[in-house]
Amino acid sequence: MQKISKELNKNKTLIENIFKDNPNFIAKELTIFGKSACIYFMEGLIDATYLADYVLKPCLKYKDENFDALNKEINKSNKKATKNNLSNLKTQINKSSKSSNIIDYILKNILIIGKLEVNDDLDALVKEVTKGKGIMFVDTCSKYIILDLEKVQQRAITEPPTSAVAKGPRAGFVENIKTNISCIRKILATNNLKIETTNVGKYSNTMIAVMYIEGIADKKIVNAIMEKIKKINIDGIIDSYYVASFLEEHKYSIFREVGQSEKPDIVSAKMLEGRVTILVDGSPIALTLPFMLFEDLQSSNDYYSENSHSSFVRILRFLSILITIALPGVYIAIQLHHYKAFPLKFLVTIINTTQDLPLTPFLEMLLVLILFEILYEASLRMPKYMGIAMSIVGALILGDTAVKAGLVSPPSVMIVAVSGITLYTVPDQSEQISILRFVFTVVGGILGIYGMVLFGLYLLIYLNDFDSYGVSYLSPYAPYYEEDTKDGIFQRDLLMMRKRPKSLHNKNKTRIRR
Amino acid sequence: MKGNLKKVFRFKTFYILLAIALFMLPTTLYMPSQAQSRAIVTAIGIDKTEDNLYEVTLAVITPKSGGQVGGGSMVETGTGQTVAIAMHLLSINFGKKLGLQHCDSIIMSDDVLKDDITNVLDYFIRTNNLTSDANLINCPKSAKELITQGASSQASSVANINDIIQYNNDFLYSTNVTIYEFYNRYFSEAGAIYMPIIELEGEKNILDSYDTKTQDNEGGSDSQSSSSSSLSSNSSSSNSSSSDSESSNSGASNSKDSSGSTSSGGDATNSSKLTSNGKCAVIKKGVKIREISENERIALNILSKNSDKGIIGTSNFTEGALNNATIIMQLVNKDLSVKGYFENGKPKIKFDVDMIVKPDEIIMDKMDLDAITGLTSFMTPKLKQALIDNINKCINELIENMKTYQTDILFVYDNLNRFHHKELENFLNTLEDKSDYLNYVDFETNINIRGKI
Amino acid sequence: MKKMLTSRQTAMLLFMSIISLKFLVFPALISKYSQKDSYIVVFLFLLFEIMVMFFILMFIKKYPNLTFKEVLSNTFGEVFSKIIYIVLFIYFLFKTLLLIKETHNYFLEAIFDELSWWFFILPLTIFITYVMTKNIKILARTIEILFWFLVVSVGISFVAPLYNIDLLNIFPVFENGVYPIFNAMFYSVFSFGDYLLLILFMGKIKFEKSTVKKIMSYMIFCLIFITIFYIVFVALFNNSGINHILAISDISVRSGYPYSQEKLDWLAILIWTIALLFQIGFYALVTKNCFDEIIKIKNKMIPALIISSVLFVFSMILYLNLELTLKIATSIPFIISALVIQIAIPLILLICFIVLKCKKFEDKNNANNEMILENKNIERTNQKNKKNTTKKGGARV
Repeated sequence: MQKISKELNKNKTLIENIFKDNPNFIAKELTIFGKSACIYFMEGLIDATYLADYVLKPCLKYKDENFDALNKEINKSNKKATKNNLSNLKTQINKSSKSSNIIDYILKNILIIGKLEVNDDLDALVKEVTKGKGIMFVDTCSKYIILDLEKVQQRAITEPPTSAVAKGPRAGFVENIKTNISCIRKILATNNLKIETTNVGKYSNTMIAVMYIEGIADKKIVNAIMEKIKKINIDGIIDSYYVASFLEEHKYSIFREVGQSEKPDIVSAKMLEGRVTILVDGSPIALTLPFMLFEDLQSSNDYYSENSHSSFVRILRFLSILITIALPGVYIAIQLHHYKAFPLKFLVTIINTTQDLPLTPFLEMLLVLILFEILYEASLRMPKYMGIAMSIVGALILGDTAVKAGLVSPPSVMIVAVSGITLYTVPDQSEQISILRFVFTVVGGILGIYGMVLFGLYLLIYLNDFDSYGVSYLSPYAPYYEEDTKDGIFQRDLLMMRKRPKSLHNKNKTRIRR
Repeated sequence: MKGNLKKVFRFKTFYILLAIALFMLPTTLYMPSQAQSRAIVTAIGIDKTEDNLYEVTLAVITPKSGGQVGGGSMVETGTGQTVAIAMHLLSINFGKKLGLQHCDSIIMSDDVLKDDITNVLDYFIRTNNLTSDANLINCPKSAKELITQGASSQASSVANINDIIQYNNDFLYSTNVTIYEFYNRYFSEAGAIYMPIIELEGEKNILDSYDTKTQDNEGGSDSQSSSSSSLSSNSSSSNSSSSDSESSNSGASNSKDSSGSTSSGGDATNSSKLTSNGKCAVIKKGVKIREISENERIALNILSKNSDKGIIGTSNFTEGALNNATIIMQLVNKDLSVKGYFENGKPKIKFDVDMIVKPDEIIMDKMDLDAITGLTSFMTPKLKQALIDNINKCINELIENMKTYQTDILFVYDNLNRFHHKELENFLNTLEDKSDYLNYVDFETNINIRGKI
Repeated sequence: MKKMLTSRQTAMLLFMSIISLKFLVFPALISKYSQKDSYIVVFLFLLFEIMVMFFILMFIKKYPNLTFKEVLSNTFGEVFSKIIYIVLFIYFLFKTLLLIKETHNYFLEAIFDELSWWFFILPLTIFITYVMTKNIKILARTIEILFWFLVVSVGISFVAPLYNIDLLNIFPVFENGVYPIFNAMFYSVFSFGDYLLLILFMGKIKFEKSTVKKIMSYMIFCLIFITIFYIVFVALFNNSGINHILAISDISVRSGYPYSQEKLDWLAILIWTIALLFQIGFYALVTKNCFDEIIKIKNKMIPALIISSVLFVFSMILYLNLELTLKIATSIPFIISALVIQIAIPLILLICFIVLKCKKFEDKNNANNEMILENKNIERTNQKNKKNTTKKGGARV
């Protein structure tokens, strides 16, 4: 840890050498208390008006006559000082400045910025400058002042696209971590809300904040998370997903172990249950741990509306997942292996529609599935003004022309379309479900219903073995916690959820008191 | 090398699954749909030729192209020494494996029912192809004609056979006989069961519906030349596009002849159709004994637990506003209890029937105003008695025929055996011929009729 | 000893094990010997099993942390315990094999048109191997999710035909006397004996106050469930029950229009497939656990591979022939061996109980005492909480 020097010129040389290839690295020299000072900052990252109004003006205008006189005396006394004189002078300086040194004095009496820090580490200095902070050196001082002049450029707080609600708060996180923290603070106005921050990323120096409620969250989990985050040794963190990758305990699994949310109300509610939130600067997606699969079946809307309706909707979501995963596979399995399962009238329809098709049922289904995936990807990437044209092309080509041309059968298109619609009832799991849909289709085609059941059982056993920070992935149903099932598929009234989830290793179980 | 092996071993599950998938995938990629590679059979008809060969007729679904709704039917016949041989030959002729899973009816003609039909049904209980829920149906004349007509007719199709059977089963007198039900009764002590009859019939006068005269089959003549070789297959097929109940098909029928035989397909002007008229045949130990009469049908309707629909009537009734009237009463509700017991070592069966009826129709020469008003209750003691007498007459006829033909279709043995097994055993031991027990059973009926205005 | 199973999970595992071999070939097998009295056979046998389970639970209550291996070692020595485990290993191996045969036959008859042996056995072997590398806790969690769904669906499949059948068909009772019932019990011995699983679960169950009550209530429910199934089977099929080797599938088909016409019997088929495959995995895991007690191998994969290879080879030898397997399972030497095992093991447990009681055996880890202490602590904290609720209104952890 390299420290800075007391001499300003030496510091200047040092710093200018570090940032020599940065044309937007600016140095502003000034005098304060008769001493030379220098402010360093990155042009474009700081708020210039803020610098001028709250730093430069006060510094330049400041005239503490007493301090000037004392300073002169100090200078004089340095030349021919007597012990008594020095001690007197020091006492006077102490009285008038009310601080032990100049830096302290400047912090308390001159600068008007709210957040000011002091440091003497050179590496930290470099990080702060690159982050958009200003650095102030004063000659003869062994420390520098960190000026929070960061220009906060962010988009407005809007409703996140993947977490839209009919009723309830619509605020979403933005890319600035401080704003995000403030959003959570507004909801959880308690001093028990603890935030532990760290910077990660060799070149990005990204700030990561780990938030939890003391007295509710399990400290072991917090420590485990902090430990993992501190061990991250990477060039740069661009998004919270980078951090999530480090926090996951099972690599090579398609199932995610870290919860994600873009809404402060969801994240706050999760923290109140005992979870830990991780915010990453530059990413609007907050991470929550531990994570259970059932969380994706829950939506914030469920808690802001009638619980009977919420239960109904959760059942629908669950059924939608099953339909998405299983429907194409079941259709193929029945066509290839279990024609007995079709009722007669449906069988007649299948026979009529699959007559004289050039592709076998399996190939046909795979083709339609792949085409739909391509359509989805294209719709994500294409410019908005082309959206209408593409939707017409997609609908006409896939839905109508392909069927009329006898390339694919209407039941296949319909099944994949239904499966595609149900896929997005649970958007957080859409990636996993999309892959599983393919796998089940292949398995169903190869082994029929037997293969699908076998693979389904394998998946269930695999998920049951999938603990995330000591919490079972399929809680609260496996293992079964009766109390937790009050917020399960059948959601009970909020007043009945008096205890925090038992599946999370939280403290202070009661959340609603009589 | 070790490092690479370790890497491979880490993903062992994935590689194993991938290997299996790749091993099995090629066959799956080129596997055709089972619906396309099988001849989906919806009905099976079994006849016997003059040479004592089994003639099996199958109604098979044919696809309609161009996105049309509904399916057509193709009828194909094969002959063989046994049913299995005939089915095997039919499969060869279709060029596809037979899919019997959707076959709901096995229609057997009288010729087949002359001998024990377990020989015929043996193929169907051993194949894992056929659903055990297939109904057994008797057709008096030719099962082949029935199926051909059903496949080509506009008014009713092969699929409607099940509707007819099901209605009878649900509402009349449980005539639904599946293969396993047949075997159930075959191996029981009683050994008798009644099987529904479906036949081809021309258009009838509505007023004749109360008549019980059976009409001859008006289907066209069909002469089938049969080969002398027992293992050969002689097939004639008629392709016809039959209409579904939903679609409105023009119903042009094409009949292709082969081997110089004529087979009549459904004609737009010929309205012969499938009818049941509630008839059923009594089968004992796999052989058709007789057909039940109209009166017996009424009796069975009354004495059957499941049935809650039916009609009872009386004629030449005079009382009050009714003058020489024929009265038809509809059964609204029925409560039946059957009790089997022994009295002084003698078996008795008691039927207690409590019925609620309402007037369905009153026919007389000169209608009276009082007779058509809904305010008058017709259930006078005299009318009640007349109805009860009529019902008793029917029941007596049924019981007499049961005793004559030794066909226990009222489950007498089972009723006695349930709670009086020892006594029944002792009773049967006293008889010279144990199968003759019906003649020694006393039947008692206690019928109560209540009117619903 | 790490506790892996809750009482709920234990009860569910036992329930599924009991019903797994009872709903396919077994009804036809019993009907062959006892005709209409097959439900009485099942009822009596299960009643006996429940009584034995109760005794075992009492033993576990007394020594909740002792495994069966430890009990045997403490009483009879290490060698004897290994012999017992070898016997149990063979017993459960054959049970797994029998279930595989039944499952294959079920698929062949009910689901598939054609099913070649490698198509069936290869994925199944891989699945079994995978399951055997897992802990019993994982399977217990799996069945917790599936249990009620399976039970309700299976229940619906044989309750649906109730409107269509004459329940009086189950009479007369004891038509041919009592002998056929005992005869049927003798020949169906191998399909019972599921209390042996409870013995193998010893030391792994988290024993609470309500454990015995919970497990017993599930077992009684199982008894009623299976008895109703058999009553429906007898009432529906009467004398021809012997023909129906796929009882559950045939019952749902016979439930009448429109249930079977519209192929809704496929619900029963699908659900039962899940139950069967799960049970195969479970039996294989139990077999592997027995193997682990005989030979301790660190790597989980090796015993799993050994057992799945053995199962694969045996399946090939028997060529997935159900009749041959049933012939072996109903042969006199085999029945007597199964009978001996099923009677001997509880007797051995009883002897161990007496011996341990005489020795005034104390748990080496003092875990039993720990449980008592823990209970006392919980009582104290509960008392404190009652006092404190008036002050602060918050519950303690």
